[in-house]
Amino acid sequence: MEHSGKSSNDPITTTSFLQDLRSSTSLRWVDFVEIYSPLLRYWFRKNGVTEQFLEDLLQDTLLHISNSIERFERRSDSGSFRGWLRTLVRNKSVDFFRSHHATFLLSEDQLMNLVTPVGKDELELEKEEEAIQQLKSRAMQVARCHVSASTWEMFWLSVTESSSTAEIARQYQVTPAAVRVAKARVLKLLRSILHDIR
Amino acid sequence: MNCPSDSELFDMVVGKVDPQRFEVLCSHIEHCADCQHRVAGMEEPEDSFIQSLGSAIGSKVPDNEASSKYNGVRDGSLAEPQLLAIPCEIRNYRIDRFLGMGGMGEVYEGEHIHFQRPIALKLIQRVKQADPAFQKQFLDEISCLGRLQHPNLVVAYDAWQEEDRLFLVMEFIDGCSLSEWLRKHKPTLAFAVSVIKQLMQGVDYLHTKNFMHRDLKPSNVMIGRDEQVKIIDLGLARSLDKVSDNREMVAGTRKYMAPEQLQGENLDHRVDIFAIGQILKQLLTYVDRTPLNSVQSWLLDELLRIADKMSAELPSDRYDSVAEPLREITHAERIATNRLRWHRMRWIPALALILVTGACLAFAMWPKISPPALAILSVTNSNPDDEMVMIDRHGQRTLVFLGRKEPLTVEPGAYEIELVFPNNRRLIPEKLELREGENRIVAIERVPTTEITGTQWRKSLEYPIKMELVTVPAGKFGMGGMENDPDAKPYEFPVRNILIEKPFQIGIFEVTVGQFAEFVDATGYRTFAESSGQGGWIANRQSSWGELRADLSWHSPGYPLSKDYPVTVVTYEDCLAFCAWLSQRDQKEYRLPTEIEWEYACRAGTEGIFPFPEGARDQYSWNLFNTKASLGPRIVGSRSPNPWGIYDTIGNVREWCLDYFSASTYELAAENHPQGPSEGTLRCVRGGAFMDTDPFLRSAFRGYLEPQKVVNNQGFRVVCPQ
Repeated sequence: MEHSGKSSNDPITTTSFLQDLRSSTSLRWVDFVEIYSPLLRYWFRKNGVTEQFLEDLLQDTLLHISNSIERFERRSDSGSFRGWLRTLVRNKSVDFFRSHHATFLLSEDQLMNLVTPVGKDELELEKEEEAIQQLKSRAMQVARCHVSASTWEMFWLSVTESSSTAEIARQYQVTPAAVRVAKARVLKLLRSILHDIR
Repeated sequence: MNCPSDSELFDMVVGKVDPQRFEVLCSHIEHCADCQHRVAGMEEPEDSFIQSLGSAIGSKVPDNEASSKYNGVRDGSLAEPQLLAIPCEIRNYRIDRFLGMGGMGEVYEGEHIHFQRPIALKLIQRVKQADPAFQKQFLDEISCLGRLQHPNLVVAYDAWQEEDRLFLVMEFIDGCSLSEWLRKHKPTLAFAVSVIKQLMQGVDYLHTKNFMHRDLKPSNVMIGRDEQVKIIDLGLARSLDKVSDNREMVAGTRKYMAPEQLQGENLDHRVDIFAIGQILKQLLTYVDRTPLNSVQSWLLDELLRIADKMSAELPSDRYDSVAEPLREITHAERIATNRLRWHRMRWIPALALILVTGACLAFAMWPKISPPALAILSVTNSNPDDEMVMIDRHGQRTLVFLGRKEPLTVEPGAYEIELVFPNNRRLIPEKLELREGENRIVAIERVPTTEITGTQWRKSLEYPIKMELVTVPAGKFGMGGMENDPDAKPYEFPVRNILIEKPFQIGIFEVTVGQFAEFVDATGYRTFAESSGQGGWIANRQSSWGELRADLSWHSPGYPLSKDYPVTVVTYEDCLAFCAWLSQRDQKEYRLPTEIEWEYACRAGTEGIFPFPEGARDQYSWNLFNTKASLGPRIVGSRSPNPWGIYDTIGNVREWCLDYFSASTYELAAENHPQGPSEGTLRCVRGGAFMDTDPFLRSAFRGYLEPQKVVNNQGFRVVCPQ
């Protein structure tokens, strides 16, 4: 059910209507946490944050994201979403080490290294790629919950089994246009979840 | 709209247009053969995003909850460390099988050696070797929790500590945790509601016993057979705080932890309320919205609102107790059921197929193409238990719960509003015309106490008041008691197979005080209670004959009332007089229902002991269980109607029937005696009243009363034979 945002400017209606908007047009926050936490965790670990502090820092970062994601989405010059997230994690890590410098005794050089990394080795790239793949996989699980079963199946057949639109239309006894629209619906959803991550 | 350009259509097909534009395009394509053709004929796009999805499909997703924290596995691969070599025997238990990693440790299945009772054993590692006093306190607490009894709580049978290992023995549940369940299934809205209500009932019980759970999360909520919910690890979090030296182990899943819990502040039961809110949100996220109709979507949004409030950042912004959101959810469910039924009923008059199709189409498309412009209604000064009935210009009644004191979003239009239990208060104003986007405040005002029996309600009457009827179909039914009903009386047998040859109309509601006032104003009629000067009886919890009051009358029945209360303190003769007047006013025959008509309409096709679903008594009727706080009837139609749309057949007030009562009525052939015996001294009374309990609330229950008895739990409804 989509409601247009017509009434959302009225301060009294904001609670219910914005909720509608949030829930129908964009990704739910719980989903976001579910999908993105593992990648953020991976980055934090890579920055040297120990397990003991990791969850707190993650919570803090997620909170930050929830407060600023709309601003990110509105800006046209924001750069990539993945880059934005990584920068956030990096900044949070640096802040963390600064405030705990008595515990960790990192030199200013080491901190600088966190801020502007020297480069990544092959293994790291591979691991990050794996984390991204898992993230996409998770995103698809979430997207699947947001569309009807047949919509999902049509999308699935088209993307993974490369079945042609005509074949799928025959199989599901719908018009080819309907198959295209179903697939588009899932893609639209995945884009809203993954932004530019690919 | 004009057809979209090729490039926009292409963007749409690869999912690149914004969501609102997407829906607009979808509905255009649906109706434009040309665009359908264009879309179908488009080449498969070469899009790197789509291609990247294909590559992700093979990648394994590590199990989120089990992956890292508890067993020290960091890299996502799920090891299965076993601390016990099975099979083995520990104390009185034989351990047969490793079940997996639970919330805080390993879980095994086994049984008690002597009793052969199946058990689950939880083994928690790395527990601090606390000093003996501390340990005793912990074990005491576990055993104290073990004495709690609730269908939604799993309790520990036994607990002990050996070196740094803690052993917990508990009830074995055949099922899986909610987190596991959610990985395998997709919940429906009904499942989500059922699970969360059970969870709340369990936690509410826990709180009333002065315990907190403190670590509620999907992996601590077990789903057993028949979707029965059982909460595990009661009080473990708190206890473990004291004995554990492994902070991580107690840390739990932060998503469900209240902010104050993370900060280690003084905690109270509201951390559990927070966690339930988070669990509810998560459940609802998984619910597929596509098959939901507008009423179900409303229910889902309502649940989200409740969940949001439960997991508010500040404890003071949350509910004070679990019972509150539980009541709101139950209430929202009830409203959704009522509205759903209304939607179905409204199609009946639209017989012309084309109208039905058109209306359905409009109804189906409405949320997409014309966003509802709503009005806002706030009610000030309400009590937590207050309910209000809103009646729109179609006569549709919506029950509104005022306890949460938040503004209501309402469709614009004309409404009459009324408190279900005014108790010497009234709404100002009682009639509203709400315009689109309008923000209206309605106040509850106390009526001066000199008007306890009040005549305030008379000022708002506008005659004529329509008698609302529903046509019940012709058909067959079994009249009489159920064999398996312990409360059935001998004179409810033998069960008779009754044929209702033609449809008839019956009052949707019991005759109201307002309707009776119109009759009195039109005719100057004086009821038996008034003309005889003997007044009538006030019913109490024990009996209809509680207290005799000479000044008791239909307009002063011993409880505060409003125009939509059912009329009482009327004799059988008074009812006949009312029917005679109404027949003349409307130029058609009205009379009291026969016993057969009454039971047929009450059962409305149901065949059980009660005409409502098991456990739903208080949702469908006003009876002692929900009126005892202030004994008396409530306004008509403020509980759920039966399947034929008839309200309050059971409960609220007992209803006079046309027939003489006889214990041997059911031995007569119904076709020869549709109105029972031809003579007698008692008249039949049906349906139970506000002060009645289960035996009187049955469909088959037959009461009787001398026709001139005057009681304030006795009213009536009318039928209109066609």
